[in-house]
Amino acid sequence: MIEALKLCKSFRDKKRGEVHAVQDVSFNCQPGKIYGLLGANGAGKTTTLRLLATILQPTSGTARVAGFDIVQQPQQVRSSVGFLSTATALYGRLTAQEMVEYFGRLNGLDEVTLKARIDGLFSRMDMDEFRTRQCDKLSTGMKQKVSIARTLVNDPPVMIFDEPTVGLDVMTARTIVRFIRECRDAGKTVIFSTHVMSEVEKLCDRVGIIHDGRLLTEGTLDELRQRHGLTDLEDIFVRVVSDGRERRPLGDNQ
Amino acid sequence: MDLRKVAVVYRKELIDLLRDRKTVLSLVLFPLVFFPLMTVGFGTVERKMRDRVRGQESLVMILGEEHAPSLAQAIRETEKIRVVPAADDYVDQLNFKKLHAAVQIPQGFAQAPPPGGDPPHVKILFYSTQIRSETAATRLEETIRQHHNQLVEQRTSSYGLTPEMLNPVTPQRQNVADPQRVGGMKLGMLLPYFITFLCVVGAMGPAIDLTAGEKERGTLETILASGIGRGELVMGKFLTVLTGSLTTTLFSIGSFALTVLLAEDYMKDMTRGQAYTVSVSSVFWVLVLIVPLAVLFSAVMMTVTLFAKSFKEGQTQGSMVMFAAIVPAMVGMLPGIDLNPTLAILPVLNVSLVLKEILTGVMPWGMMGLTFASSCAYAALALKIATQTFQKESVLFRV
Amino acid sequence: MNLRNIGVVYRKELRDMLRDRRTIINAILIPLLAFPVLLVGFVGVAIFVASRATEKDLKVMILNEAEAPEVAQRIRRELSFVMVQPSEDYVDAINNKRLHLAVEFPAQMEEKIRTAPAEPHTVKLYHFEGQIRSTAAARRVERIVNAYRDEVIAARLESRGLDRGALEPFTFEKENAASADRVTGSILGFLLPYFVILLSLTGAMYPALDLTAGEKERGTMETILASPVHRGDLVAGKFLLTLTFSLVTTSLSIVSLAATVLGGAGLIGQVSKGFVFAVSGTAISAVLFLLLPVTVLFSAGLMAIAVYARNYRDAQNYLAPLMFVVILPAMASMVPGMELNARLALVPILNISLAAREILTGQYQWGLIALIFGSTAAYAAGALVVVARQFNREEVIFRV
Repeated sequence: MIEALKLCKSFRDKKRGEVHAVQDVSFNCQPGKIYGLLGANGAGKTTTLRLLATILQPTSGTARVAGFDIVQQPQQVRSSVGFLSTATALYGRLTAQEMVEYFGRLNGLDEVTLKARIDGLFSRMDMDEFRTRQCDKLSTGMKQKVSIARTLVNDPPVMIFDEPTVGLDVMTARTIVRFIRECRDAGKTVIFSTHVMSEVEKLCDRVGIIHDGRLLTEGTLDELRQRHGLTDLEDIFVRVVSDGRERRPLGDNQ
Repeated sequence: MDLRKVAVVYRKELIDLLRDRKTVLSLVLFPLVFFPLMTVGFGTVERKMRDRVRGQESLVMILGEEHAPSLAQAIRETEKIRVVPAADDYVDQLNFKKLHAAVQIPQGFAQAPPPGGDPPHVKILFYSTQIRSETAATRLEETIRQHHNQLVEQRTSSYGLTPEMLNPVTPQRQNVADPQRVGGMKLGMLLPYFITFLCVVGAMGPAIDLTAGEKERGTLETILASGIGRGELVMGKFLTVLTGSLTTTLFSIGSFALTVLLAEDYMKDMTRGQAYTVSVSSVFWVLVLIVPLAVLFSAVMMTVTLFAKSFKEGQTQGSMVMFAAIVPAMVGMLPGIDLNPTLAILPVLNVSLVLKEILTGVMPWGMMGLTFASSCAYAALALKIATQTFQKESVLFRV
Repeated sequence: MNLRNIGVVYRKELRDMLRDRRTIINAILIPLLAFPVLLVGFVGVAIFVASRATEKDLKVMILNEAEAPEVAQRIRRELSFVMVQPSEDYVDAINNKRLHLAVEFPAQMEEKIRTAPAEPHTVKLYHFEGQIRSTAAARRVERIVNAYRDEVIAARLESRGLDRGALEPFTFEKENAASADRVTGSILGFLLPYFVILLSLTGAMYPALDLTAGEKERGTMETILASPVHRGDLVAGKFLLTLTFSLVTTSLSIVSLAATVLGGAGLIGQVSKGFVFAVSGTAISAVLFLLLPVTVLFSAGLMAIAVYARNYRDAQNYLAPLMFVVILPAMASMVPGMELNARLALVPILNISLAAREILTGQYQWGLIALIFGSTAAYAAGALVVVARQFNREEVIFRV
């Protein structure tokens, strides 16, 4: 499971000065549930997820992922997390199999387990046909599958997805969505970020709306509807965000 | 540090790199071809041209022939000299290469000079830096000198002197340095520079690919989220870059050694006629000394290219490192700079100087030790900085 | 061919390029500054080191002083020498650079010179060939011995009531008839064409790559191909920009290089007198004139190759071997004895290298130069046609 405890991340940017990307963010995700982080571009979604994955270090605050502290035990956190972000970034010159093997080994899998996992994954996802083809030469859909396989190879209990369907065609996006559901059904803790309302409505058990680095509101869809008196998620989103903006005094960096 | 994970990274990066055509070309082909091409290739062309010039006739004009008929005759009889009719525009002809040289004989040639005056002066006019003109002038000089000496002999014997009396003592240079050293010294002016250059270049390609290239492809984030520590990641990448650098250097040293062994004639051209061989032990020690240098370059290159946001930027920055690294190597090429304890601790320069010595067959053990130790110190420092830089989020995620 | 559209394309690409400040700095300023600094610095240091190395502390050993005390005395007086006690291991010492010169006089030299005038003597100077200190020491001792010899000769002649002039039938000397700027020209003509060609290649590389492969990489290729600009005009506009950019950078580099060389030559001139280095302005401007065909050729050629590439990196892969292909004919200016003729005037790059060399030495073979311009224009035109055609081929434009 995931417990974010007052996560803060600031950094110094040459052009914009001091930027508070994530401010005092706290929330919980339970295993077997999907948590959606909803926000506009630049709201702080990616940074939050990167903090949870220990790619970035928090300025203050901490989080517990799969029972490990992200500041004190980053290595263990990483071994328990599967991270998939927008770019289906693959090593072009490696074959599909080598790609997945690499990440398996990095995550400490022994050769026997690795082989078994790969065989299982590849056959289940219909990937055997392009197993030995270099990633450069794969179609977008195939690349997506390789990315998924790579994420699953060490069977992590926590899955973090950063805007996973951006730029994908309908069919490929559905594959991802189906995959996210399968993770939840397998009992994993799933969190994903997006700015697509329909995805949230389809998938999420809990939603957190993030804006300007702050978590403005969170809860199940029903809770949010009751709290803000609106049915449509998009309307809720707009209301929450503009309320949040009003509450802030003038002069803050917008 | 989990060495197994380092090995995993290393193996993958190596395979990835080897599948890139350009890398293979620059790591293997270039150093292999470079040295032989420079010596044999260039040497052949130069040789052919020089031989051709030597076989050609020189077009010479004699001005004032009437003042010294016997000298003129001697000139006419000289092999490979063809005398063309005298004309006023000889300077122009020289400038336009229609004439290679001209001899100017002054009017009072046959008479004795007034007492206290200067003897008549014969001028050999030529066009310096033009090879055919210089050849012509040399040929003329030979002939004139012979004629001059004959006249001197006649005069001295008419005064009851012998030429020996007028040549009481002559200084004569005799080289006592063994050819190995002489040849090595000449090579030592170029080779350390090339080896250093290739060492840096060998590190540059892989370094850019593994840092800036990783960022550009978007895979950096993913790998940072996987179950590997940053220190291990840096190590794995660093070892790959090091392999690249060492491979290039190895191949270039190998090609050098092969050229020395197989193309003796051309090597003689490079070392100006001195027989030169390279011993296995010198090659061995050269390699030993290069290793810390390769480590230094690899670490520095990686650190610098890590700052780049894209492949293109990485190239630019990598080239700058290359230039910076070459300068001390070039300084080491200069004659007159000799290895001493102070210089032996300056990075890159020290290796250049020590290599110069080793190539001449000398093994300055003390200096070698000092150089090796200081090189290792610099290398370790660079590696530490590289590791630390890799931990910095501001560098990894430059927006 | 719509000139207005070409102008539009040209202006946009120009503005785009000028705003790429980082690249401007790296591609233009750095080479401009690096060259002079490196070269002048290096030459300066080289001269300084060389001259200082031979100024003092030359270790000289006289093996048998007793045989020629007068000459030995003169050698001792030489300021730059440090005299070393005679010992057996001088060969070893010379090899290990502990000793720079060992002098050996023939037995009873000075004695015999006085008493047996018909006997010639040879003074042996043992040295390390090629080592500058050793050579310098040898040179100085040679001078001393020769001066001594002249004195002896003069004395011998005087004793017979003769002077040197009586024996010397004539003197002779080589004299350089080439004017200073022609000599300079031929030195420059050796190296400059090679550098000019190389600079031109690197100057054309950045814009050629950026406007073709770079465009693909940025994803803007599709957009512009969808606009109503005729593809030929598009190519023409890009080509003109590549040409302009390349000409500017190359000219600047050459000017800075020329300034450096003159500066460096001035330095050399101060150290070794008699070294004159004069450059004719016309020669330099003539070389710049020749720059035009080279740049045209490279701009078009590089574009033709880069247009096949998928992205910047791919383009670099293609271009790296190209450098080799260009370097070899460019080195033609360095080959002594190779002369420009009608046949060679048709070989690209080689022809320009040779022509530049000749112009720098004051030779203007207008017919051949015209031939060079003509053939280069033909090759460039050919390359541009290839580029235009490639812009029309989908597989090339949309290489994924």
